[in-house]
Amino acid sequence: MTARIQERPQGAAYPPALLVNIIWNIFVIGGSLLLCYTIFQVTEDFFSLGRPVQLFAGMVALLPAVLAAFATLALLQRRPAGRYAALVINYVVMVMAGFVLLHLWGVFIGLDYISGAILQNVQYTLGLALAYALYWLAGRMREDNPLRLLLERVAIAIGMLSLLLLLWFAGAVNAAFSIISTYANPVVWLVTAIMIFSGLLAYRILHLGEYFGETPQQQAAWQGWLMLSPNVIGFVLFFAGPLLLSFYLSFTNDTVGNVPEIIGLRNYGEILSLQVGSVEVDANPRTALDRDYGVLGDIVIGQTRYVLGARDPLFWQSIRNTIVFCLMLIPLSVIPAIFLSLILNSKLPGMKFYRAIYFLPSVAAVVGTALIWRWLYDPTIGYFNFIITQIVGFLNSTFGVSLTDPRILWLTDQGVVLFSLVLLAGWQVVGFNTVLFLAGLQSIPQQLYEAAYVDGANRWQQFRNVTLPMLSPTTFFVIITTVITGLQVFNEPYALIAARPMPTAATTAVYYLYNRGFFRFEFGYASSVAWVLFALIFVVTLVQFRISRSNKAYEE
Amino acid sequence: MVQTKLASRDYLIRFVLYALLTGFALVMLFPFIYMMSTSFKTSNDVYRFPPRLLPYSPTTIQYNGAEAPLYRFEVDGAERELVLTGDRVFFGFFTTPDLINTAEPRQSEILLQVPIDDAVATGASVDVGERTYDEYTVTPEDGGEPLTLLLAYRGALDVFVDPNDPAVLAYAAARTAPAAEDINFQVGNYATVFGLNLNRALINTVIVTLGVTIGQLVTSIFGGYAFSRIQFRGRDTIFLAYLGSIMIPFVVLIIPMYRLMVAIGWQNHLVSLIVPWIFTAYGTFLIRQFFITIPKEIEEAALLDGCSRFRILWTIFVPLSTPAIATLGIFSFLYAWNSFVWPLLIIGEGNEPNHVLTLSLIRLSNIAADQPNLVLTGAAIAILPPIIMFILAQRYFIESVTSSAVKG
Repeated sequence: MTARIQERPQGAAYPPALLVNIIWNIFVIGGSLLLCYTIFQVTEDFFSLGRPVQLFAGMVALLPAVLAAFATLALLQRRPAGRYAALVINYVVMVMAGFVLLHLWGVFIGLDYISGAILQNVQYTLGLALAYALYWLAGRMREDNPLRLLLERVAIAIGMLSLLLLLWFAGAVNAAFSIISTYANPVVWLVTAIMIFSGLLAYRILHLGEYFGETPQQQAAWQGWLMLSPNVIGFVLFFAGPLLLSFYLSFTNDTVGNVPEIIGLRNYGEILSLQVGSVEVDANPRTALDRDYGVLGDIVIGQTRYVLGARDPLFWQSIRNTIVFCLMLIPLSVIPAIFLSLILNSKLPGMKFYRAIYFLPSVAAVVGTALIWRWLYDPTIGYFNFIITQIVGFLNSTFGVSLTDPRILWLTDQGVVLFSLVLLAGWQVVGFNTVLFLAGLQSIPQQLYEAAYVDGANRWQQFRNVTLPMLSPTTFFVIITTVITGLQVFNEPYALIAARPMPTAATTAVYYLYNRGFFRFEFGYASSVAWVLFALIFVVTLVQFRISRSNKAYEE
Repeated sequence: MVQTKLASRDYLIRFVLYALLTGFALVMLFPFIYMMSTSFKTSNDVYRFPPRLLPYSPTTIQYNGAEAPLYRFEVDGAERELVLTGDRVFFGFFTTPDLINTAEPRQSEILLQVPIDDAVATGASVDVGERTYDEYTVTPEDGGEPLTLLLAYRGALDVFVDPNDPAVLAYAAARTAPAAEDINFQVGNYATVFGLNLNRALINTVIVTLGVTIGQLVTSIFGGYAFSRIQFRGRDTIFLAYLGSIMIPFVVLIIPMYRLMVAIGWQNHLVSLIVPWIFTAYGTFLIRQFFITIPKEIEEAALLDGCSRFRILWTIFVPLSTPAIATLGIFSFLYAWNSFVWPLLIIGEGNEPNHVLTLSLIRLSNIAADQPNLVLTGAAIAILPPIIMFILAQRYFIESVTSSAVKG
């Protein structure tokens, strides 16, 4: 922006909006300094997040001051950069003031009251449903049918009337009045004024494009940023900021009720420390390890017992469970999906119907399906054991064998419970994977099969030499996504298993994190667990990235 | 596959394929069928073994001005349904000395049972084992020779009567008698479960889902347009950062987001389920990919005519990309409707007024732990709306899956 686009006589008067903005900038600088001062003074422990966050927030609060100072100088020199800086400031101030205003009006918290209000006036929602049904019916009629117009009008009338009644009785008037009554507080006036003023100013400055000799590219730039702004604000507030905070917390001993201190890598050390020791065969394996280590597993070689221990055995156990979960889930959800997609890809009638049925479980909430499965797994009244009993009985009576009914305790037997989780997850995801494979199959060029046919390949050879290799990118993608979601499995164990504390055999990595973070409120430690887990997921993602890239190279 | 002519072998193959597909479809559907059937059952019916899919409940009729259950009896070789009268009659259970179980008289093999008033004591008594048993002259009810037997024990039996024919009586213990059952859908389960806070949870879920879906659509359409159609400095950097954010798993953000919500006072409030989730990298990417395919000429002509970018976006791009918007809408809907981890952390199981369905469901599974019929009714309330949506807009659901794999 340094290049001067248009020369203007230095002595000419500034447009009024510019002058106002320059004065306004002084207020912005003042406000920003005040905010910074407040952050350092008023809130002592800074939402119990600690001094580093306080420092960081203070610095961020200073940013508008710096930007406003720059904008003032640049505007005085009539440089376009000043205009953009002023635009950014005014826009951000307007948005932030808007947020604060909505907060002061009580709109955010007010959302909680809607359901109660609607519940007390349920009858009017039926009117809305009726109106919709009539309107839908009218839409189905022929254009020239005189009834259509009538029906549409009736529907609109009913809809409007029910909406009005609903709003009236649900207290929309009261809500509006309570918003107005917040203006008894002068702060609300101030925030409203700031929002309107900065908004107007931004609008005026925006229309000074000609004055600053704006090029079409520059115009496109501010339009682009404006359209991107919701995303950028969301990205900063709800992604980048929290990500930084998470990184910081993972190096602290943050728990509820105390101000976090930075403790360096101690959390990570605690999580990752492993130790191998050895004792004689009949000695207690525990004695092979230091005092603060727990036994993970041991193996006997000759006369010595080698013991693997960890400072945080439950973490390693949960990681092991999660990986075993993924390893079992892959064959269960991928192999049937490939075969089903092969059948569905044939041009037989009715395939869309079957595809829809297979897809159904992936539409339903995991919490709901897990509760269904909890009762299917019930050892006494569940269908799993019922079917097994029937099969055992059938085998015994037909073949004269004497098998015993296993009576599996699906959810309480420590050796079985992880498999029960996999079975549920596999059922839920297999249809989803089938649809992915189907898309992969449909993208295989037909000529390949024709060529194979001409070469005399039979069905099996076509499958072996054309379908499988061409499907390998999809297969790979499916496996990776299965692993990435599998590594974060949480809902399934939470809803399927009612026992608390969660049995060790069913504790997954994210459940472990949840337990440390939200049961024991060790936010710092749980953040470190999250980053370790992220590292694991990242390795998988990286593998995917590299291999899919080499696949593309191969295609070209 | 390459066309070949149909032979009888092909029909066989087709048959096998359809059988396979149908079998697998049944496996996929069974949990839902089980859910629906259980949601219409009484709590007693759920615990019956062997399990049945159809919901049964005891048949009752009006008898003597009150609701009384019917039981199945075999009277004179015919199956009849008799009503439990509420009366009880004392019975004597008679047998011969050698059949008496000395340790436990009630376990003795009984030859005859008649109302104790119908038996005539002979006055004699016999010692068997350590006890003494009275002797009676008993006439079998079906009219046979009177027998002289020992009274093993007495007990009360319930009286059952044929409501249409008061002459037909039967005596049995109601506890062990086979009840007559009808297929009966307990629609009231739904009302019960709605009364257990699921009504509120349902409305809250609708509010949250609407908010998230509309918000995601708006931000994604604006963002997608900027990323695909406007050239400006810094765009590609932001785009890369945005794509990269898809790779960061949510677990990393859980704790700081929770702390953030606590700090700004949104913890325990529905707004924390909406506002942070209306920004979506995936959705923006999806819309961008679709906008890129729209020919540039249309837009340029409109720009030359002096149309503003917002107008172009609204009047040209949005109508042209309904499939992509519907796909994203479906995706957001499912995501918001089914979300669980975040509501669990931020609202919690205890804060009932602000529950969404998934939370209420977990709560229901705890408070009605021994009533699977109610729990699965709740599950049906949570699961059915997405399934109905799926049936209505199947195409976009499938689309939303495959679009996630476009650039695998």
